[in-house]
Amino acid sequence: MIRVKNLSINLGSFVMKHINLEVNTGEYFVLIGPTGCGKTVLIETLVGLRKPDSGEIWINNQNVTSQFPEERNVGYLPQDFALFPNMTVEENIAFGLKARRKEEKHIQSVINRLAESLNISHLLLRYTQGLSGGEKQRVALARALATEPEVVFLDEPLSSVDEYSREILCNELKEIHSRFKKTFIHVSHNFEEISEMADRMAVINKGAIEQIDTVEKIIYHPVNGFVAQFTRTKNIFKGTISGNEILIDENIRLKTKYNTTGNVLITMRQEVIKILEESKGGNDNIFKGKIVNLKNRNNIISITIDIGIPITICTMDYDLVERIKSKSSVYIKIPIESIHVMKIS
Amino acid sequence: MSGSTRFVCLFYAITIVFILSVCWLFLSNIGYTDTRSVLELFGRPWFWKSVKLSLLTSFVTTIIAICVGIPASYALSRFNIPGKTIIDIVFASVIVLPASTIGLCLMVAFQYEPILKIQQALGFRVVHSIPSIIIAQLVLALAFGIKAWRVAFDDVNPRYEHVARSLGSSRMRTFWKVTLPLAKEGILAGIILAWTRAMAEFGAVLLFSSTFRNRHETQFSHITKFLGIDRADILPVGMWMEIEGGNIEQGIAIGFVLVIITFMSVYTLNKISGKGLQARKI
Repeated sequence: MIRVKNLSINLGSFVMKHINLEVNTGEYFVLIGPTGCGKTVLIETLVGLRKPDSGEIWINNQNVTSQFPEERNVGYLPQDFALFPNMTVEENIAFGLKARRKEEKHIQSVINRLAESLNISHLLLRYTQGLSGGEKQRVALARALATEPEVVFLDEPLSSVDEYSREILCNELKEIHSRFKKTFIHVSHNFEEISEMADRMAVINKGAIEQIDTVEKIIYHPVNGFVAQFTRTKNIFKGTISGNEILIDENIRLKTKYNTTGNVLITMRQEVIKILEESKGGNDNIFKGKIVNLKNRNNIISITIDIGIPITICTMDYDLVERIKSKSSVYIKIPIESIHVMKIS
Repeated sequence: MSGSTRFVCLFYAITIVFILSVCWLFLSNIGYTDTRSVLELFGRPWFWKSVKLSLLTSFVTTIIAICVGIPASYALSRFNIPGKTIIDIVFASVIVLPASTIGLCLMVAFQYEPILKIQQALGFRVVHSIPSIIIAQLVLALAFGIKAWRVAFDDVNPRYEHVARSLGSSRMRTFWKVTLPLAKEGILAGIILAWTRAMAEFGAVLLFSSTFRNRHETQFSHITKFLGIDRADILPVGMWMEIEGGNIEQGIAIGFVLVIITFMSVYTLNKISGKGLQARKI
């Protein structure tokens, strides 16, 4: 288990304060946030490349805060994998074992086992230039896993890979993680890239952790507007709640499962709002509106319907879209359970 | 002719004119010397002693420059040393300053305390001695070397070092196994610069070390005599002395010897670095 207690890092113009984190053994944990939020600084501190100003880092019940990277028994995959270009694939994998003065026989057996397991046996005698993105990733993982680390840190390793390859590499990474059962801490700024891989994630903004939770909870129950925006929630509105009814823009009334009063921020996920061709059933949260925008991105159709406020809906029901796109008005149903409310001052 | 073709032709023409000018620079001098002068030069004992002295002092200078300059360049490239900008300016200034100024500064520095006191304690005076040649050569060789080595280390992405250390490699092992091999080409370029700079040094050596050829035998130590470098000058000083003495032909002949030694040094080191490159392109 990795435990980070009240960690603070001061870089002059940038400060990270009161970072608290617990990552379970074998977990695929993701640190996510926009560029410049401090996630790389945090991972470099966890690896041991930076000294924190205060706080503690524990890896498997051992306080490693003052230890150098070479003493921490961690794996590290930085951007572009940083395979040593002056060494063959075999020498890359053996590097950590040689640094630990392991016997030649042991080194060879580890290389053979990892190479076979990661399907890179045919690359062992090659230099790393000219390897494909997938091959580089597998070699970098073999190099990191060879020393049996407690945890593997991945710092945006896929940032320079094209979109198509990235999807394949993500799947491969997840598969290797479940096969080797190691703790992975992966840093990324790309929510779409990483959301399917993470067991849990921490959303970081401006040097602070905003939320730590499962992916589903972060998407459907964000703790604030930043997390909602970062997880690509399209429908975010300010309103006033009184009892279980929310008033938005003084003319839209929404029924919710919450029962409170005051100013609130409301989020509604675009994929759970339904389009109806005609009003049917009860009247709760059914609104009539006009299609104002229709976009197709990666085979997901995004429709914006003006019901007094613009509501965005995402669907893959192409037949439905064909039927409604020429209509002058359509209905939408916002399920009560899909409305998430956060109190604001 | 299209704009693009005109551009290529213009740049080709400038390059060819430059190469021809360099060739002419050397070839035009051939007319001012002859085989007889060259053979006569080769027959004079001080000449071979001078070649030996030049090669030996340049070799020692380069070795010291490597031992001091490479760690210093790495530190300047990687560590947050206070006053880094000032250090950079000092090294750049040494490069652009006239070498004779460096020689003068050295002479003054070694004539006064505290360095004078140290020399007195050791019973040895540096100014106008054979070791002073190495010191004069070293100042400039170091300045040139550090400039090249610093760039070489800056070009190595620190991520390689970070990964190496996360794999359990100490800082020292990481430096030897990762950083140094990755900076190899720049390091070799720096060695070439340091060596050629030491070989070509003239102004600083003349002021700080003066000449040795006309000194009395008793003024040289046993080691100097044993090494066979007594009563000799480094080649650039030797060339200047010949020309000053009116032996233009032999001065030019020494100049050609210097050109050949420098060319061979650069070619050999380029070959070594070239081989290193080829080995990596498997």
